[in-house]
This record gives sequence, structure tokens and C-alpha cells, in this order.
Amino acid sequence: MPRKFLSGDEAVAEGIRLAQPDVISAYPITPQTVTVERLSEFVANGELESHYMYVESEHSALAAAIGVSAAGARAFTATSSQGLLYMAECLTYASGGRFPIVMMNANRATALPWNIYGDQRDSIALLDHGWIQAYAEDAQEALDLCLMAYKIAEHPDVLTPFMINLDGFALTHTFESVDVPDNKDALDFVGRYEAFNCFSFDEPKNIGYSAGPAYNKYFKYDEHLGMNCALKVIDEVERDFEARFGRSYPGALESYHMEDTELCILTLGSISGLVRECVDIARERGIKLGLVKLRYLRPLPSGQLAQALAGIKALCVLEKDISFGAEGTVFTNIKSVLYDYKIELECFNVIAGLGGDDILPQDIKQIVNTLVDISHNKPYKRLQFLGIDTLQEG
Amino acid sequence: MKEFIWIGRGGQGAFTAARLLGAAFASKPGMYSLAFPTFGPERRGAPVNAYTKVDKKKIGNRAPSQKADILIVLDQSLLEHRLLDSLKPGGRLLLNSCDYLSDERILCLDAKELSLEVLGRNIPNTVFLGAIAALDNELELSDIELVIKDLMPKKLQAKNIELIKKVYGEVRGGR
Repeated sequence: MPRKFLSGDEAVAEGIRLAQPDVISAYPITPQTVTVERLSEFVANGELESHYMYVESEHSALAAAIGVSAAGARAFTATSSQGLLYMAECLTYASGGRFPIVMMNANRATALPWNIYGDQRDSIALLDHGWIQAYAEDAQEALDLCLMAYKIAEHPDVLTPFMINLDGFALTHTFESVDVPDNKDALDFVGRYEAFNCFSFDEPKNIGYSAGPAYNKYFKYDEHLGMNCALKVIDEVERDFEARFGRSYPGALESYHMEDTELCILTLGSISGLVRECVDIARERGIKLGLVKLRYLRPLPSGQLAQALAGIKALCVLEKDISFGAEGTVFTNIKSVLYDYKIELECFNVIAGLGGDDILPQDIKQIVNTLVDISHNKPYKRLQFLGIDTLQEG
Repeated sequence: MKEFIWIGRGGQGAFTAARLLGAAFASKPGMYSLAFPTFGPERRGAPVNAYTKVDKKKIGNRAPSQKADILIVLDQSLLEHRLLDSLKPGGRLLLNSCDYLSDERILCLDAKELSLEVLGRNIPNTVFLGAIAALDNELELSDIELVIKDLMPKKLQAKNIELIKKVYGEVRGGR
């Protein structure tokens, strides 16, 4: 398996080259641009036998991908931020139509103020649009997700489109070593797409249908089942991936030092790497700290989350988004799991990294100090903007 | 963790050098590296920072380095006294300059003259890759040579290898 020094954007391009979609339809936007540039080069120089459609907008990019999928072919698109919001209308057409499209989203702040840097407000704002949402921590995971995404999305029990999220710049523009599987091994793993809901003269079906009040709920119920089923399929696909390529992934979430822990930071995406290092440092100082890295936000791995968080004293949910007038959306989701599983603990929400703001080791250290204080019954603020609010009360 | 901060202007190849250095370290068994530029719109002539982080374990912190083991200033107009505060203890500042500065932390290299002589163009970045190979005890000149062969356009390879060898010899000789 050749090892290459790649950026996150390039790693996605390599992963998609290996997954061999029939059609790539995309419109460039920072910080996704390098991915679609590399893919167009692969098509131009014959390394990838796909049809590359340079469309006039993101809305058209996803509309075209839906058409491709409806024809029974494998589709890929990629976007970011305002581009994702511009294609929002098409997101529910893809998920409702059960078209297993794979899309890369380079997480970037949403305007205004206009900002090209990374945060996760773009994808998290669209959590309810019926797409599987995975968040990569590094370039290797991004490449591996490209291969696994098609297998998960196209599984007949799932048939749900898949959004691979990479933190803008921190992942998309950072170079690191990546193992790139051989073409044949990759294609053997991904396989060919066998469509169930495509145009066919032999077995004609209704595609792009309408369903009135009497039937609409059944379609939505079915979508919900498909999404939930993805949890099981993610595990199966990851086991198959490990057997073939030697890299193991822990399902929809990763627990790090959660076995005997009292304090936990839960987060997602590229910042998990720094938090993991801070867990090691805290443990050397005798602080029982663990990390829960949420790899998938949809489907939400409620059972696994409950298992990981049961028995701890204090939790910080660190996230790069805010639902104005409420709190971070990841925090809302986690609190709902805590309620469902009757887990009682102290928890607070840190909103950080907005518009690409750096999250530094000293910031994580401050969160750890707050967790320690909370475990000693000190008062705390439930919702804090990093660098604006002070973490402790009083 | 070993950290390199590259400071230059758009067009001087600061990020290319940061990436080549990262790739050189990453090619060594048991070594990990990250390389990234300051993020933002790219314009020729505008100040650009780039970073190379190197460690013997996977690197989790993706934020720009605060302190450097080696800080490379590709354009003397970007030299500020406070830059010396961003050196770690024992750190070095490598400066593109034909001057001599009497601070033992600073090593001046006339990258303009060196690159004009060998490449025929004023491109300072590879000069400092040769210098780093001479100063860093975990990196060989052959590691840099390999990544130049691997990652640079073919027509630029021979001249740049000649250049790093020349600089390596001068820095080694001058120590």
C-alpha cells in the first residue's frame, strides 16, 4: 500500500478515485476546491474512468447527482458552507428518493460575516435533511470513509445518502502521511452499485413521486428505519475494511480512556486529536479524564453513547456550532440521550472554533480544570463561548 | 515535538518548503509530520506563514505553532525583533540576508545569490531545506533529495538538488 504525503482534500480525491463513481458533478468552493480539481485531473489523464460534469452551481451539482443515481449509476459531489446551503433544497430530494449519493463537505463557517475558515455550522444546520453525517479526524480517516461511505449508503437496508465532513483547512489543507490502497483491492471492497430504485424498461418504477397525507408518513418512517439501520451496517463495513486493509474503526463513536473515568470531553472532527493528547497529559497528572469522539452525528449512536457516558461525573460537549437562542446542537442531542437512558451527570457546552478560531492546548486545559472543579461541586455556566465567556461562574 | 515556522511572501515558496520538509520527515520510519500554510486568500507578495510539525508519535494539535525550534524568514523585510521571542530555548532563526547579524541564534544565508547562481532565479525556499538538513540531526541530505525527486516537477529537480548540496556544504563547513 503506497504511502503518500497528502492534504485532506487530496486524500478525498484519492478515495473517490478508488471508489470509481460513474459521474462526478461539482462546483468548486474554498476549501473544497482542491478535491474537485484533483478529480477533474484524474478524469482528464485517464486515472479515473468517470464522467466529470462541471455544473453551474451547487444546486445543479446535487440535482445532477440525483439524476445519475436515478439512472442506477454511482454519483459523487463535493461542496462547503454556502454551497451546501445552496443545495439544501436538493438534499431532501436525495434522501427522500433514497439515492445513495456520497458527498464530501469541507466544513466552513456560514455568512455573514463572510468567512472561508472552518467551523461546523454548515453541516450541523442540515442535520435533519436525512443524510448520514460522518466527521473525519484526519486525512487517512477521510480517505477510508470515501471507500466505506458507498458500501454503507448503497446497502439495501440503508439506501441513504452519505455526507463525509472534513474540517476546513485544519483537515482540507493540512498535509500528512496517508496509506493509499491499491486500485484493485479498493474496488474489490467497494464493489459495483446495484441500484434498486432506478429507471428501468424491464421493471418500471415511479421515481420522484408525490405522496399525499395518507402515504407520506410511511415514506418518512421508512427513511428513519433506513438511517437507523446504518448503525449496524457501519459496524459490518468497518470489520470488512479492517480485514482487508488492516485499519480498524470503532463504529459510530470512539471511546478513549472511558473505562475508569470520571470526567469526559465529547467532541467531533479534527479537534479530537488535540483532546486525545490532553487526555494523556491529564492522566499523567492523575486526572481521570476520557474522550468520546462522535464519528457519526446521523445516525446518532444513542446506545453506544449511553454506554460510554454511564457512570461519569462531569461532561463537556465541545463543538464548532451554535443554534442561536438555544445551545450547541451536538449538546442538545447528547442531553437527549442522557435523559432517555436516565444518566445523571453535570454537563456543560463549550462553543469554540467559530469562523476558524484556533483551539489551543491551553483552552482544553481550561476545560479540564472546569471539569475537575465541577466534580468538586463548584458552580458552572451551562453554555460558554470559548474566549468570550469565562468558564467558571463567580 | 519539533516545530518549524516558515515566514515569507507569496511566491517565495514558503509552503512548498514546509510541505517538502514534512514529507522528508514523514518518509522516515516511526516519524510523523504535519505541514500546513496560514489559511487564507493567496496573493503574490503578501506575507505567508507555513508550518512543519514533526514528532515520533501522531500529532493531534493542528493549530499553528506558537514557538519554533527553527524559524525560517525568507524575506528580510518581514524580520521583526519580536520573532526571536517565538524561538524555543536553543532555537535558531534562519534568515535570508546578505548581512551578518551578531546574534548567535541567527544564521544568515544569502539565498538570493545562491538561488540566482544555481537556479538562475531568485527563489529562496530550497536553500533553507539544505540548511535544515545540515543543522537537524534527525534528517539527512538524502531525505531532502528524495522528496525533491518525488514531489518537485521533473525539470526543477537536478538544479534544486545541486542547490541543497551546495548550501549543506557551506552550512556544515561554517559551523
